[in-house]
Amino acid sequence: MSTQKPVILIIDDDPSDGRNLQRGVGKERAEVVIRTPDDFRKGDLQRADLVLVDHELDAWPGVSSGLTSPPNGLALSAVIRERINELTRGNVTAVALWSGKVDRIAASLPSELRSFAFARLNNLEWVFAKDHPDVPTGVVSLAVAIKQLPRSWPQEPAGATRQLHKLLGLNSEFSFFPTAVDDVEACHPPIHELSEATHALTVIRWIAHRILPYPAFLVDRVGLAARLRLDLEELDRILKNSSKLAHCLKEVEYRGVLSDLYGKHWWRSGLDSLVFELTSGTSEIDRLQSELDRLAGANLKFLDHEVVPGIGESYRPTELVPVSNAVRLRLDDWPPFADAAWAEREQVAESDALRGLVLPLDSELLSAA
Amino acid sequence: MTDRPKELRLNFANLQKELESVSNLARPFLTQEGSYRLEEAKRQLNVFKSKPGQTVTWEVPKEAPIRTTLSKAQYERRDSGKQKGPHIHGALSFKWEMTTSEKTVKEVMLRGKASTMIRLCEGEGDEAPVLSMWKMEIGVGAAASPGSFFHIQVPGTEKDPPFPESIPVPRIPVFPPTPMACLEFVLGELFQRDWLKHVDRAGTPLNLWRSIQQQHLSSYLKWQLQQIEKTEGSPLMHLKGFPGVDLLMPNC
Repeated sequence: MSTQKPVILIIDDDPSDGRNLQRGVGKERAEVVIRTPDDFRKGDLQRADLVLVDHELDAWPGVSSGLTSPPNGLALSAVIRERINELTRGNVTAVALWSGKVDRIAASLPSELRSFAFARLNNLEWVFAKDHPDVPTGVVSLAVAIKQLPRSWPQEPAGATRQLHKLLGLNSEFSFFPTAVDDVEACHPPIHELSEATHALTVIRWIAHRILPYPAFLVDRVGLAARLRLDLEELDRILKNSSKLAHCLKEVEYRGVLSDLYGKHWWRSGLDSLVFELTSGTSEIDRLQSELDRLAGANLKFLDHEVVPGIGESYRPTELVPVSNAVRLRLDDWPPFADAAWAEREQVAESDALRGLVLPLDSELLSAA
Repeated sequence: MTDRPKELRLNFANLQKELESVSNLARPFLTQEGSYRLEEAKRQLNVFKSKPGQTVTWEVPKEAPIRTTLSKAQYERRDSGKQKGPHIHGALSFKWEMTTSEKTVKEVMLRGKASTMIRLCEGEGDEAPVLSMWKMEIGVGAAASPGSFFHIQVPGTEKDPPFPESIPVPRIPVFPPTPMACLEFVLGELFQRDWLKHVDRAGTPLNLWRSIQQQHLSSYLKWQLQQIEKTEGSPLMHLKGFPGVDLLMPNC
């Protein structure tokens, strides 16, 4: 693993956008190189860990030089990807799109899916929205992840598994290590023939496109709130303070590669283990809640029913729904290894977009809504 | 006879697989909460993989049981639409106290309470009145009861007949009652035709389920046959014996 700063190459017809991002990233976190589409060189591509390509490329000299000239960043990304494959033997470079008009270029996709689903559909690692405040952190996170990849991916299965655990920050000292290993394995990490062939870019994509956006061995803040049966606002308050509970949750927070790309996540097995420890192995809800109160140093506001993360028309978990009032949906790109996609029954019944996606087994429940 | 506490060793991965497969199979016959609670039980079990050498309690509490969907008298095997009788659902809860193996959790030792409670309730929901209740238990631990190692009890909660709480018998012999096997038993009783039809086909969850149940049942039936054949006394009384700590271990 390299300790050098990652190199980010920005290709944009308007260098001022690139300079803004450069300032946001800061010199300490990464070296940012800015080029227009007609002046980047082989050396730039060879050095870059991440190439960020602007989508709207209509102000550079080559824009009208013929039908084979890339009309936009998506087309240029494909050319760059091939150039990288020719130039860098063994090195890995990520290619991501960044645009001020993500909503327009990926308009056919639900808004919350655009950053990863649009990338997945277009042979990209990620899509960044120029105006999003978290872009500098996300860009650095992706570039650092690439920098951390080994020069050659291990061929033998045990070595490949160890390398994956290293990237995920899955430490064998963790009290929940054996369960987490099983959980990761259940998500079919592409660590063998595909990773060897792509120098582990498939692993990065698997984490970015298939793991971070969905509830599997990692859970997001809504999943965490559901596990602890806490109101979302209450959880946010806990996460911002410095109570013993915040410290306990910090211990099971995901800190592996791409941990700053798509919000905070926690190890599901880590949370289950925490619940086990706090309840002396019984998992009794009353006992858990009194222990959480004690660690938080406050009387927390708990939900008095079992809840699941519910998705709305954004197709992302955003709220907590009582399980007795939820139905499961079958979404096109939802990974089969992930926890079910739940949605509130009444919301689904009233939504043209969601109504047809209910699993057949749950469709009877809709008529009761 | 020895006074040594009776224990039962179980392969941890098999326990996980048994739960995984019954969870997939039973899904259409469970309520949303029931299915969710079965998933919770799965997660609880998975945690034990990281808790070597510890005494752990695996539990679905009776206050939040795994509830089946409503059986519209499908416990009778009459033609569809001709069933008579109340509409009921099953509520399954269990508590297993066990110790995980040292270093790497490959086995668990059942050595405390090992009881699965089944209640049949009229109508739907948490408030539905209980019509009947029985427990399916494994006689492990220092306080192991006399009678069949694997048994069903109908313990009363009142002092009045027909099952007053003061009388713990009969302990009716039964197949090895893991919570998962108990769940299938309930579903098979409540949905006589539908469950049979559901499990009478091929598929990965069923194949997994079948292989584990075949192993458990054949091992137990072989032991029973041996008991009957070797005894010089009354065969029935010898079926009450302890079948051995490794009875349900693979390749035993």
